[in-house]
Amino acid sequence: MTVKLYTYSKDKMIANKSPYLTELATLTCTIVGDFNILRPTIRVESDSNTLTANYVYIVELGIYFFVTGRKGLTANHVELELENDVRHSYYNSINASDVTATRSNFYNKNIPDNMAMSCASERVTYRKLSQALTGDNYICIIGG
Amino acid sequence: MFNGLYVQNVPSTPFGPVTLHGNVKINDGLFEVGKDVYTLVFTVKFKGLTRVFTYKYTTVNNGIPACCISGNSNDSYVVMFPKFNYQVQIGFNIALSSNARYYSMTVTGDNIGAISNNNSSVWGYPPDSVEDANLVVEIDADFPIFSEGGSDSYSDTHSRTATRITLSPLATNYLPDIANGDYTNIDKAINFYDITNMIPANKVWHISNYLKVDGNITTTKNYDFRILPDAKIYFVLTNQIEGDASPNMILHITESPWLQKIGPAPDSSYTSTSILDNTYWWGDWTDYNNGVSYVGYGSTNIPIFDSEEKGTAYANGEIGEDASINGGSSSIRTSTIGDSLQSTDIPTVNLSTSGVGCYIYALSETQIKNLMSNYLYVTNATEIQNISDGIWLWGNNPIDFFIDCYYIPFDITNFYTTVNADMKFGTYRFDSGQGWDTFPVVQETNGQRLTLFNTTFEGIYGDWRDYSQFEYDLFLPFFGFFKLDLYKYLNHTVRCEMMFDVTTHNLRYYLFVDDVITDRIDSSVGINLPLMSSDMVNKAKSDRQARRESDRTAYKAIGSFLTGGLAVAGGIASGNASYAVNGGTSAITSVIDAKYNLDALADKVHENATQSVEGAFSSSMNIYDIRYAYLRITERELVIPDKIHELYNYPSYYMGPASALSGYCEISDIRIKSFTGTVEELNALKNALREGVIL
Repeated sequence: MTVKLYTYSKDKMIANKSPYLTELATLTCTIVGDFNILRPTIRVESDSNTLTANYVYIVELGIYFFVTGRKGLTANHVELELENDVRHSYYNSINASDVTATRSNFYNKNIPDNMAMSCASERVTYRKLSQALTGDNYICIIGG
Repeated sequence: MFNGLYVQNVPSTPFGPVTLHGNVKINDGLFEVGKDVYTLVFTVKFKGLTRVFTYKYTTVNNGIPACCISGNSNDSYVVMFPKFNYQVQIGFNIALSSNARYYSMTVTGDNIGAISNNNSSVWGYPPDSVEDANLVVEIDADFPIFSEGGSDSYSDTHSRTATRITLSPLATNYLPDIANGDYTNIDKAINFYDITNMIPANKVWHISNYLKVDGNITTTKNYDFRILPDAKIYFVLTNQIEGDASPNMILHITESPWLQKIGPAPDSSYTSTSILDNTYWWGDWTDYNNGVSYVGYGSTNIPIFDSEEKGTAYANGEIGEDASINGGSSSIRTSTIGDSLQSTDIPTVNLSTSGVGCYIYALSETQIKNLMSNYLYVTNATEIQNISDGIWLWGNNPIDFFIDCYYIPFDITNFYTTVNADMKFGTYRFDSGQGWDTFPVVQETNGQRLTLFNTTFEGIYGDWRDYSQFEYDLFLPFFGFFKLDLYKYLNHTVRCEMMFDVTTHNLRYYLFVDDVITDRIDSSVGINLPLMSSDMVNKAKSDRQARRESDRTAYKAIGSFLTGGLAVAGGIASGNASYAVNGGTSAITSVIDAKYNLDALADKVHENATQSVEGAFSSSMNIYDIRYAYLRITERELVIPDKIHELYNYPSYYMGPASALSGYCEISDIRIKSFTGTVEELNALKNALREGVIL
């Protein structure tokens, strides 16, 4: 399979990473062990690119992966442990879908912001609501 | 946009003219010498204020055209250096009469590329060969606005009429009593000097940007400013570092419309300093400049907020003046759902309190003293008649006719009507026809309720914070604090009505939201007079016992005399008996009758002396309560990190296309329309979206 090697230095949560990818090389790779679409391991030739890339794209799968580990380094090959970047891989699917967002750029002011913190101090304000009751009486209840 | 343009030498001295120094260098050679006339719009924005300078310059062969904004070199000064080593440098000096604290300067402009800061310079790029470029320099700053007219002898050469808000000791009567929660008059007269004296002992209210420097007014006071009629002005009281002697009260003006400095006021020659008490704020200068009001502190109230955030929210129209600490009113939201428990559903109870075995009198202090001193225990007849009258009148101790006697710290006529009538004790009536006074008798209970207040409890922020970080405690006289359920009362019109039961001392408060009963609160009030305290009772007992024994001896002596036919020796019996004898034969029969009656009554007196007394005694210290209702609003300080919204957007409940989202989002659910992956990928995608995604 063909794999494109990239470096990526932005936030992992960014869905569309394409503008921030720096391509290093395009190589061929083989799958190591049982194939897991979420966490595959591939073997590629070892060189400076494969040792510095932290993001790959497997062309045949059309899926982007984070490089989560390297092992089995030999003079010729290295095995890259990958993690499916579903945010980027299915960015178009996300964008074409309807969603329910609990945090977004659409501000619902009635929802508490759970990232706000309450501190210890208090601010007390008084507001007078009525006039004072005035006058007085001596009430005598007398039998008769 | 570039933030943080360096501004030199911004003086911190209040009210001194401020000169901003800076320059902008534009690195490109698109300005062609001698070719074009370039127009730049140079906008200076103060916080809440915007001032726009537009000027043109004509490039000349390596010349250095200078342009003075508005033609007033004292006001601002801009020099252009076009086409010089591919740079255009704009230097500017802007003189401001203010003590504005310049937090930052922002440079923006159409087609302005990357702008860097080089100490006192801003570097940028010009627009792409366009003649009109907009360069906006924003100065984000607090800006003090004041307009005042000097002393009492102020002479207005423009013959302007003005409504003067006096900030003198004469205004003391209007000062709010903040310490006691009374903001009633805070909007009538703001005396800054006295505000500083109203600082609670454990806190310091800072006041700045006001007309006082070490107790004196500076010369910059003599400027007029114009604010267009729909401008909003507000004060912010900031409670800052405890122990800091520098008070801080900031006056803000909303961004639109912009403020215009008119120039020196007619009394600009008034340069002597004066204590703050002689400072006045003027408003409603209606005959100056086509009727536009010139307002320093105008005839309209200026709300005072206790935080910048609230003030800003007010200025942005998000909250009303009611959210300010000087109160106000706002619109009513009416509940229209369900069956309303209206105030009219409270029944009218016609409980008769007169002539049903008792009468209830509502006496003044004078009246009750008169009653106790001149009515009880005193008759106008002979001694024997006294005995008879006393017994028939009182039956026993006249105090025993008192079922209850207590003091209430308000006027009973708030709840009941009274009618003057003869006072009755048992069967005895103080007949006004015989010269006795009449006393006010309480009439039937009829459910009369006193409205204590009817106002709107409006939230401060208009969002979840109003509910999550506030506590509202309603103080009700003679009850104490009642914690309000904010979800029930906030942003509603709340009415409180008070009822009082004169027979039991009990009182009840009804709370209504939009005229629907929402809560009722019961309490009691009144302090019982110690008419029947145990000591008094024992005293009454012993007195009556002694009197009874004396009387019984006398009565029985009389009876023995009468029945035994003995002559009465002057010393046998008491004077009462001798008076009886002196009554003559015609009196004998009645005296005999009286004897038996007296015996019986004497025994009755003895019997009654052991009776328990009426009346309960309760702790009634609540008569010392504050006698008006007030609201105690406790706000917990909430910390929202500055970058939170930039980094993590806002709490949301958005349902719709993901394509409309941007920035950080947490997506709780997704309805995939097109997906080519496996189920486990889809699940992984959903988990990732719930965790967060930046779109």
